Formats: sequence, C-alpha cells, structure tokens
Amino acid sequence: MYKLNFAVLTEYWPALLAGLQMTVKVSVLSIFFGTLMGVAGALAKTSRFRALRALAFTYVEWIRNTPLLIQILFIYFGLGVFFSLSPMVASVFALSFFSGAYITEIIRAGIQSIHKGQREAALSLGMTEGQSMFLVVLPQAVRRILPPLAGQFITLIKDSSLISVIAVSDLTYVAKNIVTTTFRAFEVWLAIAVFYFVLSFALSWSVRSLEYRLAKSD
Amino acid sequence: MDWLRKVALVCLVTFVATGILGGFTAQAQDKGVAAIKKNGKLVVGTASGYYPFEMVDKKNELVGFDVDIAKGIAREMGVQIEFQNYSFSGLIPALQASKIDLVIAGMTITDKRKEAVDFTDPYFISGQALLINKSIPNVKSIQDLDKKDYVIAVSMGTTADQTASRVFKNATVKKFEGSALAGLELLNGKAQAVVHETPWVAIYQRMNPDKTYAILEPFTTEDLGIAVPKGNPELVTWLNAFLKKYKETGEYKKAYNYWFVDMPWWENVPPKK
Repeated sequence: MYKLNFAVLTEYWPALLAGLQMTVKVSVLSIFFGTLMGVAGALAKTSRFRALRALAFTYVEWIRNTPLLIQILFIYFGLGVFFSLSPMVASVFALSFFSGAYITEIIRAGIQSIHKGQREAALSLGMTEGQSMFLVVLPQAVRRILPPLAGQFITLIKDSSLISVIAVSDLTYVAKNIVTTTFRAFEVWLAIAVFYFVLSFALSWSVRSLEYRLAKSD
Repeated sequence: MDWLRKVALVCLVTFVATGILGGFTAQAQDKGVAAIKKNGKLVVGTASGYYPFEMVDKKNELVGFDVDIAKGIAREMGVQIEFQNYSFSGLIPALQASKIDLVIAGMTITDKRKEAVDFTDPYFISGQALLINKSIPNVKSIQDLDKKDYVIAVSMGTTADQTASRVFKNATVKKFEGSALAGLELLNGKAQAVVHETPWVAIYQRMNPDKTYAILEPFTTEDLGIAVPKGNPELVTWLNAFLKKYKETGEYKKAYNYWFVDMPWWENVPPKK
C-alpha cells in the first residue's frame, strides 16, 4: 500500500535547495564556457585556414556523436587514471565541451545566414576581418540564433542531471539520496521534475524577453 | 497574459489529477506464490557488483551466491527465472513499483527498509569493513580515516552509505551508483577509503593488491535478507521455509564453500565488475 506523503519534501527542503544551487552553478558556468567554445569553434569553422576548419569539424563530430554520459564518465574516471580532476571541474569541463560543439553549429549557421554583403561592406569601410566579424556580422547573427541557442541552454540545464553519477551534489544527486533513505520515489522525483521545469522555463522566458527587446530595433 | 493563464491551468490540472490518483492507494498487488506460479516466471531484482553475491562473469552471465539462491527458489516454485539488474538504490523502488517479485542483492534488513518492504529471515550475516588506498599507510581504525581532506566512497543507498555518513564526522562521504564506481574512485586516488561489507572488501582487495589494503574485521553486524513487496506474508513464509530447507539439505554449505572459501569462480569473473 503506497500512501502519498509529500511532507518528506519539507523535511529535506534545505538539501533540495542546496542541490538546486549546485545545478544552477554548474549550468551557468557551463553555459558561459560552452558559449566561449562555441564562438571559437564557429570562427574556426568559418575561417580561411583549412587546419582550423578540420580541427573544429573533428571536435563537433566527436562530441555530437557520443553520448554525454559516456563523455562525463570518460573525463572523470577515464582521464582520472592519468591526472586528477575534481568532480566539479570535470562536470563543468564535460558540459562546456559538450554544449560547445552544438553551439558551434548554431553560431556557424547564424554567421553564414548573414548576407556576405555585410562583411564586404564592412571591409570596404576599412574595417579589419576581425572588426567586421565582431562589430558587424556577429551582432546581427546573435538575434537570429537566440531561439536555438536558448534551446541549447535549456538542454544543458537538463543534461546537467547526469553529473550526479560522479557524485556532484546537484539536484538529481540530492534527490537520489533522499529516495534511498525515505523510499518516496514518486513524491521526490515529481518534485525534482518541477524544479527542473521551473529552471528551464525561467531561462526560456528570459531569452524570449531578450528576443522581443532585440526585435524592437527592427 | 493569456499564455500565463494557460500555463497555470495546465499546472492545476496536473496537480489535481495527481491528487486524485494519489487518493487511490496502490492496490496491494497479489504477488504471492500462486501469482508467481501462474505467471510462470520469477522476476528477481539484484544489483550486480557485490562480490561474490552477484557478479557478471566473462560470458556476461549473472553468477554468485545470491544468484544460486534465487535459482533455487525458482526451481522449487517450478517456474522460469528472470533477473533484472538495477543499481542498488533502485531496487526498493522497483519492488514498490511491482517491476520485480523479490530482491536478493546482499541487502541488509533495516527498520527503515522494513517500512517500505518485507524481509525474510536473515540468510547471511555480514558486517562493514574498510578498503584503503595504499597511499595512506598504517590505518588501524575509522578514526585514522576521519580527516577533513579525506574522501570515503560508498555505494549509494547501501547500509555502508548510511553507516559511513553516520560514522565519519570530518571526512567527506561520496556516494556512487554502484560499488564498482566507488572502487574506481579509490583506485584513482580520489577517495582514500571505501566502506563496504567484508566479502566485497576482501575480494576487491585481492583483485587490486598493488593499490589497496583492507581492514576486514567488521565494525557493524548486518543481517542480509530477501526483500518482497509489503503485504505478502504468504510469500515471506514460503521463502523462509525454502531458506530453512536450503540450509538443512546442505545446499547452503555447498554454495558457501564454492563462493566464499574455495572460490573456483575466480578465473571466470573479470575484476571490477
């Protein structure tokens, strides 16, 4: 006879909040570094140099065609045989590396969607390649890629739940802990789903407002 | 703002539906012996990795002391057997969700667990021991390991987890899905010790003599039992009768000698699984 008992959530509320904090922390860091990697990757993919393009291609294909869980286990336990990475560092590294590949593709598509004329006009005005990219092309590309970029950030928040397997005290890890001590699988996992929903929804809502404000400049 | 109203409506409907469903407490599943025999199959939940109770051999088959007992139960019932391998922490939820008929996974009988499931009489007595990384020599007791920078790795949801969390005040206890990952953490030097029951510690140490040593004297006493869903006293009685017969006919002693004493299975089981 399974009787529902949501009181277990109030009992473990502090632990859940701590887990939520960790998830937010890891997600924010990974979004930040992942975006940096994505920009670098996109620039590499659209560069004149064959070597850079090949490097970026390899990076993207490797990451996109292997499961994130395997990547996390590899970075923490696999590479851990050779040098020591703390679970936090390994998580942020794995998540950044992972999302970086997808963000590379998103930004690359965004860059390539901007008419070549923009770059040419910028160059003819005397800007360098770098200035044309960062002052003219990328700003315009950003508005176009906000929806898929937001999607990637949301995916990252949800995917961060995998770091629980290397014992990072994120929301999922805390939840597993509570379930093993209280055996209230239904109540706890339902609550965790709501937590992740609120996080992801808040993010997608902010990005939508950002899109709206950028669109007003049209 | 009408999208906000839509979202609120969806949430409201979801919670109401959950509340209504929750009103129906789950029917006590008829999982007694008759039901299992009718099904023709005994579904056993276990968590591979607790040497030598349940492990995976080189042919990728589940073997071990618990596995033999489970097979004996199925034979006695006259049904087929199906094993489902979960992470240890998922076993009791699986039992509650009627995914499996019983759990035999070196699981200790505890009061907290008895609130969620029913247990047979104990079929084995064990205790927690310590597996230590050789980089920390001369550890004699728990106090030697209870230092602020030390990490103790355990398998999540086990009594080792609960014991370690209770006993270590300064060291950090890290919980992993399965003793294999906890052991790996130790081998990589990220954990200084693993807490687990004596049989596992002894075997794992023998598999990794260059990196580990063990303190095998148990510092707790654990009764291992078979877990069944709550509300099936008939099944518990049947299983207790089976266990008694298993001991009286000498099957138990034979299995014990095979898995714990002579260990002819050693070559067939790859390490760290």
